Amino acid sequence: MNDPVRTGGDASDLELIAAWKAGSQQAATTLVERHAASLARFAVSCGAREEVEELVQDTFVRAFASLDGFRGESSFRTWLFTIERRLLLDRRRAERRRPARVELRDDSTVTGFSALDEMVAGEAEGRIRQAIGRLTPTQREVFVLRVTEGLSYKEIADAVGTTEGAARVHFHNALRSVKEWLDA
Amino acid sequence: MRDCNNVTMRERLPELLHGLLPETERAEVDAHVAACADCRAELALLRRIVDASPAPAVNVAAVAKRIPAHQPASWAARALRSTSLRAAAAVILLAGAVVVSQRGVRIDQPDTVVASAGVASTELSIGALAEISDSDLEALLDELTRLEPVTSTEPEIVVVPAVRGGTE
Repeated sequence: MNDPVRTGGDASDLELIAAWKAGSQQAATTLVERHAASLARFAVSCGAREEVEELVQDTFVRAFASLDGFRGESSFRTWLFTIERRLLLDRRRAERRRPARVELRDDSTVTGFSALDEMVAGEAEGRIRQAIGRLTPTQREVFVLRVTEGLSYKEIADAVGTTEGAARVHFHNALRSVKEWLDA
Repeated sequence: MRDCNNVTMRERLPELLHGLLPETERAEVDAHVAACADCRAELALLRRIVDASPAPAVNVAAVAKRIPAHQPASWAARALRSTSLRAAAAVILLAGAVVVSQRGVRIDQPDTVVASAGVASTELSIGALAEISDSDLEALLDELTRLEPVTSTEPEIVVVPAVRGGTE
């Protein structure tokens, strides 16, 4: 009797990757379901607006295209964030070369939400998004990955290309900055 | 808003928020938060930040549709991951770059042109080139294949190190 390949919600990421390599497209769908929201949230926090779904899609396509090179030293989720971050940086560089079509903003005022969104969301949430928008790009990446995704400093370091120590410093500087803005 | 002096407990608040702590640690941090107003305030702030960061809707089915079925790596792809073959490819690329740049060209014989690479061109170490990523190496190979081939009427180009008194 053959054990069925686990492709459902209780399978681990590595099990799903193995299942996809064995021919299960359902396994790929489960991985997308599991991680798409986190990737979308990270993209918005880094300033992406209308192209969020396209960015998430490109991230998954790139990830699956190079899964043979995924050695499992970091988690699959961390690896996805690494790929998405590189795609965001590439798009930012490309946008800088076309100043008339800038969609990603790298300055301190990026929030990913419009003024109308702020009104609808409420003043408190708006101030939180302003506080996060005022962080430096690196602080914002580290802060968002730590607070909204719960990544460890090791995972954050792998995703953004820094050290655990630096990630910890960035996080605490960011948290202090957010607290000072909200207390003001 | 003040920071709790217990750094160990503060560092665990994001994991507590996301339910990532083992049972015994969770109980320990929960007990500390119950007794520490500063950590309660910080945990509440972290929760508000998460609530203020909704994820835009993503069409999962459409994204999943774009993921192709797994294709086992081709011989070429496996070769690109081989360290020795990457080093060999890096040497070929360096030679190609020198030919294209045509630095310090001198003619030793009527039908032979010796291109001795300038210092700037040869400062790249083979070790550094062998460490370039798969995608960068593929891009460089792609560029090299787009170079126009040298016709048979062109003089033969031989690359030699820029060493005084050196011959081919």
